[in-house]
Amino acid sequence: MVDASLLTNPVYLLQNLVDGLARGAVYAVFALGFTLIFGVLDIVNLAHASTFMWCAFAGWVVMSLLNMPLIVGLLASMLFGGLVAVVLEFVAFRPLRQEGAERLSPMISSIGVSIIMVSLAEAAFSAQTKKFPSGVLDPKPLYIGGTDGVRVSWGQLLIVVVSIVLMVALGYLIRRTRTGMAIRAVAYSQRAARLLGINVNRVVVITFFVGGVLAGAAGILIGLLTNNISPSMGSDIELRGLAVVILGGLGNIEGAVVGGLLLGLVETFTIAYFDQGSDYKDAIAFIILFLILLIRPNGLFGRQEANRA
Amino acid sequence: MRTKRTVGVYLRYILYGLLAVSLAAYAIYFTQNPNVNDLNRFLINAILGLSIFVTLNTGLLSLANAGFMAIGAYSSAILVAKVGLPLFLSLPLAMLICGIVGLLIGLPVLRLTDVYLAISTLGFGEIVRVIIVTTPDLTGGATGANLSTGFPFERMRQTETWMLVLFLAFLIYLFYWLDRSKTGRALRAIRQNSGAAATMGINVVYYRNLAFVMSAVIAGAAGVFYAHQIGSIDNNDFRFSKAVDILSYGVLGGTTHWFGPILGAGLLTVLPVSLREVFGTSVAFFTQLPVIINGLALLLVVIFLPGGLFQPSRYRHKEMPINEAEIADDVAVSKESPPLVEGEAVGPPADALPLLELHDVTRTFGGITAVDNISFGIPQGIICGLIGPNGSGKTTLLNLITGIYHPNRGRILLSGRDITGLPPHLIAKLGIGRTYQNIRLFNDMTVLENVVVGHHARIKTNLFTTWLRLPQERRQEALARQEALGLLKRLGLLGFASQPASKLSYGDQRRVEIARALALHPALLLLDEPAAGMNDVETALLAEFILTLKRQGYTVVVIEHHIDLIMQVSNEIIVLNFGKKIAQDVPVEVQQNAQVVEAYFGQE
Amino acid sequence: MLEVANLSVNYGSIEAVRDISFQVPEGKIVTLIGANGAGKTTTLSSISGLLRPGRGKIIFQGQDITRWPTDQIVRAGLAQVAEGRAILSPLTVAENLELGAFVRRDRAAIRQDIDRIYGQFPRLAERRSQLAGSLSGGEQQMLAIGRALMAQPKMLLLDEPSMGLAPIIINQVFEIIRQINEQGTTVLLVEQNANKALKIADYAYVMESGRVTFQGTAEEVRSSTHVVEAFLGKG
Repeated sequence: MVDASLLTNPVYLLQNLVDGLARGAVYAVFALGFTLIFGVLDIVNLAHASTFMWCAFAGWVVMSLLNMPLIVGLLASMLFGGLVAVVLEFVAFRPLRQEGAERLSPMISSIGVSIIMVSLAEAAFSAQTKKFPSGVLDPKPLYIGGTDGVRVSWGQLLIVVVSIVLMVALGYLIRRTRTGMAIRAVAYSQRAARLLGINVNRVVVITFFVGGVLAGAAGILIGLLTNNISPSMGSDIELRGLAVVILGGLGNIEGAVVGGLLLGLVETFTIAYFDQGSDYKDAIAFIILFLILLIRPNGLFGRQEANRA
Repeated sequence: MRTKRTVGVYLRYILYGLLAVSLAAYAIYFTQNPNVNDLNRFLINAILGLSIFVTLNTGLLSLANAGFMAIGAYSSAILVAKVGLPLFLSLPLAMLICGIVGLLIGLPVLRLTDVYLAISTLGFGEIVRVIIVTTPDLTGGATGANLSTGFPFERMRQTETWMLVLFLAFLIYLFYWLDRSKTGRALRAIRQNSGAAATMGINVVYYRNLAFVMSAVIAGAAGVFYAHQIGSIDNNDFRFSKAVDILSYGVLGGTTHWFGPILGAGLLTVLPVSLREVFGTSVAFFTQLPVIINGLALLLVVIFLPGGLFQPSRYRHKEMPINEAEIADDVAVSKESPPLVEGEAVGPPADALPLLELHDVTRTFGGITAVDNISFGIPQGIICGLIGPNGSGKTTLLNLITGIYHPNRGRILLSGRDITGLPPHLIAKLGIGRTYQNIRLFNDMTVLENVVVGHHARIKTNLFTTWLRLPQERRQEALARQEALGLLKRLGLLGFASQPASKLSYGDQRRVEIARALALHPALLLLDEPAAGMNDVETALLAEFILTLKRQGYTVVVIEHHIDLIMQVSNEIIVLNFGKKIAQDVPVEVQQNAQVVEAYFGQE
Repeated sequence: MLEVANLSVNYGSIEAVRDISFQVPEGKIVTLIGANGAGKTTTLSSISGLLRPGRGKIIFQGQDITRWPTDQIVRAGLAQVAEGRAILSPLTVAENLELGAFVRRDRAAIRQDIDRIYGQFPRLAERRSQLAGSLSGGEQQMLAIGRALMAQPKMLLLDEPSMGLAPIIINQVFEIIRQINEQGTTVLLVEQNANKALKIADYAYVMESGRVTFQGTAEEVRSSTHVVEAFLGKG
């Protein structure tokens, strides 16, 4: 434990709450894409994190090299993510979506694509880290309750706003639109969906596009949080994304949001309230993963019908 | 489909060509610069390849092997450099540690579907690295285990090529015999169809854990040799990319035969060395080239060459002539025959107690009651037909009896013993054999092997008898083979014994399933639509065979839509409709039962 | 309207349908009866494009649809109510109906049709915002039929609509099928419940082991001993 005076300091507590929520919001956006693709196609797309990493670089290119404003960078990165994910569907997943393919095959092919993507990034951008230009955001933070109060950076504010917009938009898409209904139909039964005249392949492409858009947004948001863009950034977040997805229940969209926020908070508070907390921060996702697998394999919000082998 | 296979053929040529070219390049390089480092790396990678093979061959995707390698490496480095043990003692200790960790990880995760294993093992390697970095006093932390952190060079550099060759040879010995043993068959059966494996008496969770622990132990051994190879180790040696490398050895080389991953390790070790020698390390793209090729190969092999580069036809070398004397003469299906193990009772004693009893059994699926309060008893030695319109709950009932589902309410008794809630493999061992409506044979196995898998529960061998080649091993295997051949002969399948099960006609596959179920020596045999897809002649032969089973004392429950068959063979017929039993009577009565006629035709 | 000529379908390693031919004239109800495993569902799946036939032709309104993808076949006016309860249980009743009209774009007409379906099936109207999985078996079957009608099909394929339903509900379902036909939709009805099917059908084909073994008007088939034997054996 750290200095006892910190434990009773309400500003310190609130500060960490704010930091944790911002961090968690990024995790949630990242995990949403993961869980969406799993929910619809029963595929663990291990190239999702590499898509995310490439999107961060795409945003960096647009903002640093082309000197575009942040909003353009964000949109470009989201579009780029969607396109990359669609290419993945055609290259790595569709050829395996036939009778007779082993269940593990899509996971293996996504690993193959993923390491190609990381290698290409290392070859293109070198392994060293990149930063967004300092001008994209006002560096002066907001203070709630005076300069001794809780500090909220513009980046954090933007993260929370963009995350909420994306989550609401995704919820609207899935729950309220024709396309969303088609996606849910395909998730439930591809055969039943086809008999309704739904072009399953097209729905799958849309699903991948949406998943990629979410990866693209997460790529920019994490850049705003850590301002640290490198080819290895995907592997740093991948495990967290998987932990969040398991925490919320594989394929469960609401679960991914809550799980992401929870992980962000737990990580932030571990750093804040424990000595050497930052060393152990990376282990938290894994510990959560294991606890959930032991206690509630279907996640916090999973139905009781267990996925037993 | 056909273009896919053609691409696969070319891909195999390309990969073998790449292997040949890089081997040649490596040979030239080696004569100019005789350095055993690359050779040692290949041997270590081959061991790692075998470690991933065990899991892949059981149908498990584990990404934990880099983590286990790290545990083995650091355990051994600490034991040798700090505790002062000799290398040959640290090796078994490090392997033991990996085995224990493997068990702790596997036990919770391997009960779940395969996706969970991949996800949790993905994180495992990272956690191992976090632990290494955060315990610098023990491991050297982020600096690595080298001279500066108290790991003296001379103690850290002890791995010799001969040790690696010896160890690899030892592993190959183990794998060679494992492949031909009860355990090896069980692992392959689980990969091909875990559900059918369970109803053959195979404890799926146990064998999955066994495979995972074996994989962990072998990866740990590779780590030990790795730690003592160049004189220092670093946590970065065991990143996720290492796990992917190891996976690639298996996926690329082949997941059906132990030689596959060795081949894969060879290709993926020698190719980068050759590329390094040709292109140098100046241009960034070329330093990434081996990884890109690795990724590309993974992708292409999974799509176009599923099963990997090395897939020997298992069947060709097994097409040995079957010695007539070897065939157990009818004994296998005869109840008077001596069982495989002396003293083991075959079937229950013939007393008044019904063999199978159901009491008020109910099972619902999300609001719909598939089996509704069903009770009946089936006496020993009869053939009972189970009929009813489509969707009336017949197959659900079989799944409840064999433990695939558990009833929400009610009890199921076998010879008076309560079997409600037991897992499928225990129910199989207690004497219930079954076949499936959608055939579930082990398609990559020969017909003979399929039937030998049915003997699983009665073959009293284990890994020690297998690897020490104890006489018991040979005797039991030979007996199982004889019995299996006897069963095949009884069912007229002897000619197919060494063919892959998937190549047989539908009717023949159904009969192989029956032979496999009979291999359990079941007190009760459940046949789910055995005549589906059979022609009239085959159906008539099947009816004859079912009657033979009855004469030999078997009790049989048959679900069938070929009503002629049911009427011909059954002593008693149970009719279901809406998950309820609407009749249980002799065939003639059932045919005239108004409720039954209505269930099938609707009321007039 | 629909013509199936020399159709053979392999399902895995079995030839589930062997060289069958039949026609469904416009405005009629034609039934395909036979015991389970006779190849009825396989036949329907091939017509809907879910399975690729090995040999043979499927002609719908003069067009060869043999190798068309399913969504195009549905667009052409051939909707299927699949075997069992092929509703989307995690979606609401209203969403199921809306998805039935997935191939249509005329929003206003879709709304009207949904109301019309609710008028025809008052039970569905009461439960419009419930999850489809919570309906009873009979209600699910009504929903499945109502949903198929939302595509405004020229022809309806029904796969064992009586499966798992109580006799009184079966009667209701068959009455609905008759009404749908009277309103001008051609029906191909696959059934195991031969008596019921023959009561509303104009023409019938009997399938056994993947072949058509008997055909005739509903009356002819009803009076034939062939059918009884196909189901309950030669007693």
